[in-house]
Amino acid sequence: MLRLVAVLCLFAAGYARTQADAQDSRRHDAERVETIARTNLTQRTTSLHQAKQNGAAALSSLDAARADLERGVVAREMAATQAEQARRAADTLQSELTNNGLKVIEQGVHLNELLLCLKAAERAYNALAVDDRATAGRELRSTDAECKSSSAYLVSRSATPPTATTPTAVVP
Amino acid sequence: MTAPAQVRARVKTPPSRMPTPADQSRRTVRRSSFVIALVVALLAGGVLALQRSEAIAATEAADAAVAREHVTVARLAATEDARATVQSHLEAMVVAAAAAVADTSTAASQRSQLLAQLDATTIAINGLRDELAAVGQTDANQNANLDGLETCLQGIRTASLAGMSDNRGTGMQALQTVQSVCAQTFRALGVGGSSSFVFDFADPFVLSHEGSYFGYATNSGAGRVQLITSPDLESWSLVGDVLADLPAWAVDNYTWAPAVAKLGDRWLLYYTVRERASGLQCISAAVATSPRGPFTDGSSEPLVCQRSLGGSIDPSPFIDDDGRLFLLFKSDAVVRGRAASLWSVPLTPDGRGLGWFPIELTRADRGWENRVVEGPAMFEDDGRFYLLYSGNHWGTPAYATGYLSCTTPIGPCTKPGDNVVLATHGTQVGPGGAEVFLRDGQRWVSYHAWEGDDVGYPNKRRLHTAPVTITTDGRPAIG
Repeated sequence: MLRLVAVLCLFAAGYARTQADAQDSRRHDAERVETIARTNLTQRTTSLHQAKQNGAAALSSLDAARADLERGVVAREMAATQAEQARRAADTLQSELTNNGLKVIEQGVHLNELLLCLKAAERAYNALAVDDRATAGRELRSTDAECKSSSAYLVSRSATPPTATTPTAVVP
Repeated sequence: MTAPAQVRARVKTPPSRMPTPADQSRRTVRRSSFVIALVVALLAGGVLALQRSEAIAATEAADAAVAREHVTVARLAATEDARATVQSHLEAMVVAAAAAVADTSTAASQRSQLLAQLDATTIAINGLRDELAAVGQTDANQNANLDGLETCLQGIRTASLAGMSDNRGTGMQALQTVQSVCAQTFRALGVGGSSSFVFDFADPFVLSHEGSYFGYATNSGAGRVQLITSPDLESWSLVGDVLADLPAWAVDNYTWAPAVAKLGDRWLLYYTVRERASGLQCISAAVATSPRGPFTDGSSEPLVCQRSLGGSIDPSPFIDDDGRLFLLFKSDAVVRGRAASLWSVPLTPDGRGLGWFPIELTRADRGWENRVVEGPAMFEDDGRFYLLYSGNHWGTPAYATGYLSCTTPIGPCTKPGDNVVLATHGTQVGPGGAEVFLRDGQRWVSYHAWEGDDVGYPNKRRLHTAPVTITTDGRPAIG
């Protein structure tokens, strides 16, 4: 009986030992796995921090780039506005120049016409030096006929208001 | 049933007889064995319990480790997700930043282009402003010129109408009123070149007296003998007609080529005038106490009139270093179908009579003269006498000025091969009618010329003046 008890005890002890060892092994395995997981977690956490730092740097760069872009866009818009204003001013000046040029051309035409009329009047006057009344009369009639449009122009010119002042162009 | 329970059951079995020593010994052994077994069993049980406890603890530790692992794994997964998210955002930000940089570059490039356009437009604007200012100035100038021309035109027209009505006084006033405006406008328009007197002024004769210049010319609407004055040969004022009346033997409207000489305190005006009886042009003389006139001519006949040669015209007095007075003139033989000729005659000391008979100096014998020589004018230089004269028809561009070289005022004279000294140039067409005068001690000439395309009657011949010098080869040079 004693042997039996001993055997049983031994068996029980062995069984218990085995169970304990198994549990211990399982605990070790679990701890190892946990360690590995913790190690991975640490690495990933480090990686995450690094990524966050990179992200912060990238965000800073992005902010700077956006600020540059905003400034660039503002500057471009300002330049575009100035260019547009200058172009409009140039168009206005060109238009005014064209109008004034046409006016000057018209003046020139009438100047030439008046000069011809004046020469005709002079010829009439010169013809009177030798009492050539026929020539003088002819030249005077020529003067009256050819000066008609210029006389009308001179009358209309005196009734025309002065030209509007030129707007000032925007220059950067 | 556990081992200690089985042991307790066997111990409680009742005895069948009285125990012997052996039984006692066996009993003792049994008891000892039982105790030992019990102890062993208890130990074993203790060990088992301990081991069970360890196993439970290990299990719990393992379970805890597993649980922690699960937590760690979950955190790991969360961390990974977060990292992936951050990475994704990072990549997005990098892309966005790159796009922003690219857009910034594009914006900068566009701005540069716009600024370049702005610069170009600004330059264009400045150019346009300059042009506009120039056009504005032209506009103002032309307006002033239009006003000037209109004023001038009305003055001349009034003078012409007055002339048509035989009211020359009114015509003269009209011309005097507008002459400065006409001159200013003509200058502004660049009409008339260097000439400063704007109206017709043919066969001009200029003299200098007491700081003023006096200019006389062929008749015009302004009178028989026009007089203009100037302080500088630039700005002329129309004085009017200095020959108030004609002698009875003459008719009006043909008083040409006046020339004036000072003899003592008197001024003599030699001029061409038409003789009523013959209808020919002849030369007469009028006298005044001032170069301003009025000159009077109380003669009963012409001073010179070569009727057989078609009359005499274009008188020009010449006083030599000895104070002797000569008169140069032209015989108008052209009207007789012959070549014209130039003459010289000494005058009496009072200048109103011939001191000798006229001597022919030259005839029209050169091609460029086209059978016409006229308008003589003499001056002396270093013992040589030079005679300027006009050749060809006066109403054409071929009219020009030549010269003779003479040993005395009455010849003999030689005509050099190429003797034209003044011909059409620039806007001065058919220059002729030259006369010599002194300006600040320097010899100058006055002459007339048509203007541009306005050549021939009834256009005007304008007054010009220019210095005249003698070149090293003994040739007069005008201008």
